[in-house]
Amino acid sequence: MKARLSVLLAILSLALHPDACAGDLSAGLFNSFKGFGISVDHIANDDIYNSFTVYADIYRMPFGETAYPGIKIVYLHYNRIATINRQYSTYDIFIAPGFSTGYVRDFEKPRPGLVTAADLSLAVKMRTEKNIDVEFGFLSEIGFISNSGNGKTQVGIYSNGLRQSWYPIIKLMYRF
Amino acid sequence: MRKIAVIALLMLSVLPTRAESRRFIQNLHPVLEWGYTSTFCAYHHFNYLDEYIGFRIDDKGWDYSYHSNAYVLASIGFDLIPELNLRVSSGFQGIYHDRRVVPLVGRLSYYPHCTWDDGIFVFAEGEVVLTRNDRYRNISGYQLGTGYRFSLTSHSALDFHVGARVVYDEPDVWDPLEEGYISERNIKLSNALYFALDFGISLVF
Repeated sequence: MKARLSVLLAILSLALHPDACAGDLSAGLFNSFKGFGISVDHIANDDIYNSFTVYADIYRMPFGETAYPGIKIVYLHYNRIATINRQYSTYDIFIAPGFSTGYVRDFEKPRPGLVTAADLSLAVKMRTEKNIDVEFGFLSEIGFISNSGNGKTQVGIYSNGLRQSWYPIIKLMYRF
Repeated sequence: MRKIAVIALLMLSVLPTRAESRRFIQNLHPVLEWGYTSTFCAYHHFNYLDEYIGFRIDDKGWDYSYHSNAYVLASIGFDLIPELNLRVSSGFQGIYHDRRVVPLVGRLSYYPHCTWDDGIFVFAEGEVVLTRNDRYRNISGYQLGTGYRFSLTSHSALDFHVGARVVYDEPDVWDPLEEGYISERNIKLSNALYFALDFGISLVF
């Protein structure tokens, strides 16, 4: 409990640090075959931004195997590695480490479980003359899932973190 | 010989020039579209012979239970004139509880300002289902809607749209007494209509 509180306080102190609060905000929609949700990006400068996403994990929903989605929270720290300038738009390529947690279903596991994972994302952001950014990306997760059932808790590898790496993600963000 | 020359001249006259071909390609736009379908009511009319009780059953009525579905479509749009766009799409779509199809959708959109300017648009669409499976063969859908286009660049846009959809289906008939589906040979009539609101997003390039 103490360890969890320490981690939470550390994240909060990072998020509320005066340097972290400087910069612009953008908010929008997270769309993927993984699920649908909302994202808030804190843009520190042209090279770096932090992204917080909460989405409904729809694994097994499209084919009617379950009626209830899971929930996933993802934090990513984006670092620009390249820029392509075109006549009417700019494409920034980012690499983003981060972490995620949530309560989701996993491949070949009967029950949903608690996930904790380290993440890596590769994304291309199209900046336009308007306040709308379109981001295309992919997200890989390596972590663990703990399932409880029959009075026992089992911890295993979170398979979908890698299996769904090729699912494209489109984020539609509005810059404030 | 003269005939061949005349035919060749005629063919040359109707062949598109390089500029026309380029204009045609410039008017073609790939589109990614996805959305949420909220089915709020359905009507059914079934007429079938129930072998268990030995009577013909005529069952019709409205069902107001709510169903959530979603769809993902990939499309090609073509600007017929600056205000009018024709789009042909296919993908994966849920139409009702346990009914998922691969549709072929045709949509005509009218942009009062211009297809590539910010502004409101209206659209009408019709769809059929691409399948060889008899369970899904006779499904068709129609939608009327409106939306708002945000032009991102001179050749890309983001659309948000909402539409009223009705889907015609000929579903399998569930027998509540035997807890199984009625055999097809005992079904005289199986009609259903699903009424829904669609909320969608399109990315146009």
